[in-house]
Amino acid sequence: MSRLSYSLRALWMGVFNRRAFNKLRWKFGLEPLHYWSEWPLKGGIAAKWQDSEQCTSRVLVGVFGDQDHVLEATRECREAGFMIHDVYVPYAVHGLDEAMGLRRSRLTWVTFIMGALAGAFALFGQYYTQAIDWPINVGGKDPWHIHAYVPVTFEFVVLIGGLSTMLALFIRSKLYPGKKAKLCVEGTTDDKFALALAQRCTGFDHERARALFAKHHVERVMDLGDTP
Amino acid sequence: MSHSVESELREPLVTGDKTLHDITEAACAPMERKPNGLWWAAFLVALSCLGVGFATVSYQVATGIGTWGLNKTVGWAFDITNFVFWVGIGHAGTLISAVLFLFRQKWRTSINRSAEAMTIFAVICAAIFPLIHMGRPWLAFWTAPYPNFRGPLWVNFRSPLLWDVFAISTYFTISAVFWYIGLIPDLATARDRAKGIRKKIYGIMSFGWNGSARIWSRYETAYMLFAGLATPLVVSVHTIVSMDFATSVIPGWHTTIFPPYFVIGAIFSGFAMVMTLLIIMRKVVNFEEYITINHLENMAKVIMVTGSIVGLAYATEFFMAWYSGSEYEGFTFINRATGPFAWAYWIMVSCNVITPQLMWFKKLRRNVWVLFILSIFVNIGMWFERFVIVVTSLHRDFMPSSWTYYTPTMIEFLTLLGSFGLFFTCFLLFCRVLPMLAFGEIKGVMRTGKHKHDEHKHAAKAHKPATAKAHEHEKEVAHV
Repeated sequence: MSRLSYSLRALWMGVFNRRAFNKLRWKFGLEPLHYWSEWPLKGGIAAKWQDSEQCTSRVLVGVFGDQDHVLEATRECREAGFMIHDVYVPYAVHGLDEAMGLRRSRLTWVTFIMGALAGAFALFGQYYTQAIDWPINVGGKDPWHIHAYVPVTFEFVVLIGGLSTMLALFIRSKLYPGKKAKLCVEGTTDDKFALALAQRCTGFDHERARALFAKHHVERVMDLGDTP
Repeated sequence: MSHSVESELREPLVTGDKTLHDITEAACAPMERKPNGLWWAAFLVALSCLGVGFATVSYQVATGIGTWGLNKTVGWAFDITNFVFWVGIGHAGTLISAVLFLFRQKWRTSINRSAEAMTIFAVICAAIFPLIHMGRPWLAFWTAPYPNFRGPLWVNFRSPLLWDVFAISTYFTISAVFWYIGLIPDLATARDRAKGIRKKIYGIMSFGWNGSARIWSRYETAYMLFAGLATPLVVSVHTIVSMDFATSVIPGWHTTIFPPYFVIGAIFSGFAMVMTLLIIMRKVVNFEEYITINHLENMAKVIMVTGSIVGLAYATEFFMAWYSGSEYEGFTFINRATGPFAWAYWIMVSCNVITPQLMWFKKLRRNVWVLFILSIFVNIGMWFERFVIVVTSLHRDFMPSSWTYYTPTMIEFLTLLGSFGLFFTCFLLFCRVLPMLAFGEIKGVMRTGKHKHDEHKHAAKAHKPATAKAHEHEKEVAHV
């Protein structure tokens, strides 16, 4: 039963993607929905944001000097209901994705699907060239002898699987050669850890956020007008 | 509160009680300062070797393969030896970065970057030899199965030589991708420290990396995937190289032990080359606190284990030659150990089987000089292993009237020298312009084994001024 409900939920989240829907709403100048249940309240009527200046992509950034501090701060801020815009860290901090509530990356699917396609293509290609298009008798060997085609198929799977993983990573993360880096604060590629909280809508509790930052030994707090 | 999951009893991977910034400083220093005289001297020597190699290769291509010492009986000798040797060297990088990553061996972080670079350069060196052997290297693209106007005439997918084309090119591509993906965060660090033209170049190369944890999360998944892909790849590549021999019907080559024997030999020789280079590098650029004696000891252990397996493979080959009852197989092996090439065989055995056994002693394992000499011996021994396999299996064939001896010409020696020149030129340039330490990864493991009470002390020290500064700053940046 739980499996069924889980699949239904996945279907629901896929079809009724709130984030995508909010993007659309944003275009029409509508306030984003935090829950679908808010829809009737916030309405389809053009409820233009009253205080658009406060509700921009403003972030509150806390700069930390230690991975444990930023990890705990992230966890507590998320538990307190703040939206984590992003965390900027000089190295992959173990456990940070759980603290941020990130879901597992779906890059594995790209690798799997592209690898499977590449394998099918390589096998078919070898079959076509060796057995159909121009069969040649090499030492009396069978033109279609699958054992001989395993190495090339395997190499091709790895090649295409690897290259498509790389491309998927770059495309999904919007990384490309020559892209200008937008740093949140100086030093996040050296020894600083920056936690950026999104101040999306009205009701961002500055006092509470700063208190949480201070509890976890924040070094600097910055109120940035534009998201990095 | 700490999230370190490692035992406190472990020795720290990075010694000298470093901060994160210290690691950045140390790792970026070789890229930021002017090269010293030692570097220039090494570079000039390497470059002249490369020049010699370039000249000899041009001569060979212009004149033909007749410039080699091959004859009717020994039709395959120096070039394939060098090819297998370099491919073998190229195995350690991916092994260190992928296999040790999957096994959660965190000590790999200090050595993986330079080992991966070494892999790429070694594979380039390896690829040169079949290209020269083609005679007309400008037609090398004929090995690709593309629809052409010659029929289309397809390549023969049942030939291990073609498998090699696929294996080596895939291995090169995936290793290069793996290496570059690993470089991006470190290049971003270099970019944020650099000025002027260097900032621009590192800026282009670092793909706009800003340390976002959302990207890091994906990056980690991709890195794991690359490790998962590269691990079977590294095994497959040398398996396929061994099949160049094993799928033939020559006694001495036609054995089922070849794939594992070649793979383990590749790891053995690759680790030896990594050790040779790192022992020099850690001294020259002062990385002794990052590439510690513990790292070298771990590598020595790998060399000892793989060396023992290689020794076992030699013994198994002999046993099978006798046990199979095949006269020809038996003759080949007796001839290897006692025939005209016995000198090469015994160099191989003493370098590859006997010297690694010294590593059972902890004293020797932790002595840098011993390790350096050992690694050189293993490099020599592993080159001779390939030479022995190739030449001694061929030079006395089924017909005694065609028995012969093989002597390489000066051209062949100089080509080998040239390949070393290419390798070291590339490696020295790499040391100058790219981060030699994967410091993004080292920062992640530097807490391994640190004593907890130390950490608390550090934390307490760090907090006091920090909070005071934070208050000040809060007032400053109330609004941006």
